[in-house]
Amino acid sequence: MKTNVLVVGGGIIGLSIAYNLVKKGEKDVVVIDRKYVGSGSTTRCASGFRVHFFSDENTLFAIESRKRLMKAGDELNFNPLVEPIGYMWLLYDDAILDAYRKTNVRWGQLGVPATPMTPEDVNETHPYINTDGMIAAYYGPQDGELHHDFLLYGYRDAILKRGGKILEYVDAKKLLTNGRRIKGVETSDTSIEADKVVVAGGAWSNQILETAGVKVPITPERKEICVMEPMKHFIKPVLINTKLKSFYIIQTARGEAIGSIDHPIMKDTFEYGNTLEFLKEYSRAAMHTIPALRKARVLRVWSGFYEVTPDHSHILGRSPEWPENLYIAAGFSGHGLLMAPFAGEAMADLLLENRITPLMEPFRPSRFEEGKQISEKLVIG
Amino acid sequence: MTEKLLRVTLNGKELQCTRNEPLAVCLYRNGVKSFNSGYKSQRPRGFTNLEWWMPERLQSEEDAFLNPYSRVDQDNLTIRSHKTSLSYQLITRMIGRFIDSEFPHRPIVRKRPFWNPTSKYLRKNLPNPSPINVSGEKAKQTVVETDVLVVGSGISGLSFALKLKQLGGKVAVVEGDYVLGGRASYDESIIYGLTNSTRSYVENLVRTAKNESAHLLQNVVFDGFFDDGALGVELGGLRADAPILFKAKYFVFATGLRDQPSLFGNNDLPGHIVASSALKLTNYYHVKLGRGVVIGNNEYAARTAIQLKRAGCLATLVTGCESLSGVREPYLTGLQEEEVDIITGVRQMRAEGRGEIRSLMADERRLDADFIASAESWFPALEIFGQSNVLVGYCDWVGSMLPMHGWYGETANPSVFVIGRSSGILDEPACSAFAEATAYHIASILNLPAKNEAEGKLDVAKAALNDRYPDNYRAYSNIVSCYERSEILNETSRRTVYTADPYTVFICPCEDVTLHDIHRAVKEHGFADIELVKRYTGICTGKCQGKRCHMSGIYAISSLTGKPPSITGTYRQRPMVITTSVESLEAIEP
Repeated sequence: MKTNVLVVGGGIIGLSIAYNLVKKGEKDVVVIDRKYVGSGSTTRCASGFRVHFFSDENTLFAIESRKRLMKAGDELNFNPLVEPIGYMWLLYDDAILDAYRKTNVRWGQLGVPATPMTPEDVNETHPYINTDGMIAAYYGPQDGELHHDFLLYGYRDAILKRGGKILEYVDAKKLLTNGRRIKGVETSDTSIEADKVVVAGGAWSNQILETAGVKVPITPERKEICVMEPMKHFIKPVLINTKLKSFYIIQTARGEAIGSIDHPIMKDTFEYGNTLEFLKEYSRAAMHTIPALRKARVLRVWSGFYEVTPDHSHILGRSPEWPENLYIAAGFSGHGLLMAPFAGEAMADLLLENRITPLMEPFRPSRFEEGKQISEKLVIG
Repeated sequence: MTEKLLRVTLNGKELQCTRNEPLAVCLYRNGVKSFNSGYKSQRPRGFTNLEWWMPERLQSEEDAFLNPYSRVDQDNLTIRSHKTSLSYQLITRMIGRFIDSEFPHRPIVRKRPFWNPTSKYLRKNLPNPSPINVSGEKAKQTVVETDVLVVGSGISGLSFALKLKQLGGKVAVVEGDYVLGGRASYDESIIYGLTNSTRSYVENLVRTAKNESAHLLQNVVFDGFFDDGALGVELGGLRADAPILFKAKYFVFATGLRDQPSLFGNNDLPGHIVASSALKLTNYYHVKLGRGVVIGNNEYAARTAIQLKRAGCLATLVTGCESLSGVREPYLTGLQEEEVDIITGVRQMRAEGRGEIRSLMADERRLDADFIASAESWFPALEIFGQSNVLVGYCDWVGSMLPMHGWYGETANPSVFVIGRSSGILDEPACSAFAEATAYHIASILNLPAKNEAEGKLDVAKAALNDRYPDNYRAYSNIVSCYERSEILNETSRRTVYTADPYTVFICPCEDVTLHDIHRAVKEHGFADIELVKRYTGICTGKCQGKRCHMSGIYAISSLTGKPPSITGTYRQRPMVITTSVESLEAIEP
């Protein structure tokens, strides 16, 4: 089998790249995934999107991505149920409040100002939130939630309709090189020859990159997540409790409350599983933040992997030291879904026209060796 | 039964109930069959399965998510079913057919100017319970420490536990229901190999177990396997459910096979219940069900029909098969003796009635029916086996996904065993015999005295099964060998879908997923993988977590894709087994 562009990884990133390629007229695209589309991390995510980051680079990138996200329902055959319900960060610490205050000035300059709120404001507009000990809150009205599966299926549908190929249950085993050139990928089925190979393998990206002697600083970090029985809509924005181990909760279109907490922290493992420790800590934080959740019932828990880089920002493009024709789009550190629409477009530009968008440039793979890491501390949600 | 009365007010209507029965039984006894309405279609919804994991919800002043299987020990109880605004009900009823899985993705609907107000309206009117801020006593965790934890107190679970206890092992049995004995506790048929009814047989087992002071925990649910322990929950009704930490060397699952609702037109109407629940209502709670129809071509369907007829609930046995090929002696004679009407070869089946079932149209015949009991297919507690890394395969003789296992019930997970009907044996005496063989086997692993008799017991069990049910024996030995070879059986049988109108065949009553939705997913969107169909339609993601739609979903997908269920496969199961309240989980001390 032969193709122009081969995308390794059928998650939201891989499909967004392929979608943008076919949209720009490159029909000879093949996406492979070791299981079904989205089986790695996309279908396991909590599905929030936001434009508020501490670094300019990520904020600008996310603003571009949001624009495309809002139009996705018009462009695709699926409705990704994008709901700009806002994010609300609950703050308990002077130092953290200070950081938010400073960053909000910058957010204002970038056109996405957040609204500062006092505990009294929160009590009035969101009476279900327990404001004990809270000193302030920040509300980002530009942020919100969407249905990750439907965005994924929208991309899948568009790729297939426009002539691209998606091969499921095909596992990429090895990158095939010809001297300093990548010439294809050996899979569990057969070998696929390709002019260009994009690795969008999420937390598993290194497994395939290492077969060509390339390594990127991506560490898998297991996160557990939990969803509660559908209830009437009462949790309006996406809530983040900055004190209780970054507890966050989102109420979806169906009324289910989905959320997580940074506990327990498990790195360098690819074993799915859940712990009682998580359930206990999560329930404690949920009951503390929203007392009315006491009788709410937990439907199920599952786990998935963040693909974490040292600066909690993604890696896009290629390094001049790598074998030719090898590209990467991974390391999204938990922000893959919200960055995907623009990441796909920027990567398609790079692949087809060899053009690096200025917004994408800071995310180059070589930034770690150059010591030009992005300073990103706002990593939750 | 003590006849202490409890006054229940449902939506302002006063009802008299006895205290020692689940709320749902009390409501059914009072003629209340509809609890809520469907999430998308606003069609009335009752329950299909009367079990401890009931996914329906009632709202009281203390608990917005009250399980209708709860027993309540206060004098007065005010409950209501969740209401939506009248305009929402009218709109969804009018355009009910269009509010399916595809609804948000329809070309006009998904455009932002239309979608924004629509989504706002839909969100505001979701027919879900609204959480209430209540205080109350905190739940406390307990620990159950034992060598072997048996989940399920039916014939197999109790036979196993008694035998292991006699051999000197430390064993605890957990049962989710208030009543010990599992399915047999309300089944009065006299079956081959036993001199008494299954009910008296299991009651005898319960008595013996109590005399020998075996560790029996009623009303306790096995809730899931986690990296750092196994979780159980003691159901508390209006009080908080108390978490339990299970510390056991081995887990033996005797969880049986769960009946599944059949697929026919309007199968979501209140009054459609599974056969086991119909028997539970008549035989155990003595509720007068009225006239009924039983659907199925197997011995459980025949047993149900016979018993319903005896209980005065005029039963007709209906099946899509050309003859009652799945029923053998002594039940064929039993059906004749009780003069049960039998209708075979039905192609189209549709329930009729407004608000609840009034009749069943079987092809051109109208059968008056107050209830319809499904006894067509079953499946085991797959959610547990999926979580515990037990391999699952499809067995056509049983017509179900089953955990793959060895002769002693040993699975791919060395600390998990399956016995009884959940292992694929359909015959009670054989279940009991295999359970005892497993007890001897585990005794030998635990190094208990008398450990060398396991093989002899196994031969007895094999002979018992082969003698009575050679077909089941062959299927069973296939499950055994398929575990060894990691291969999957070939299958020929399919479950029938009886209607021409897929819009009214509800596969998943929690998420209102119809056969039409599955058809759309497979045929129009090309989702062949069960994981993708599940995410597109929402099947198996509702409040019962697939306990009512899992096998129906697999059958529907496999019949549409043309691939057998063994290839269609199942999806990844996750904890918990039943939905558990946040306050109970908060009380866990890992």
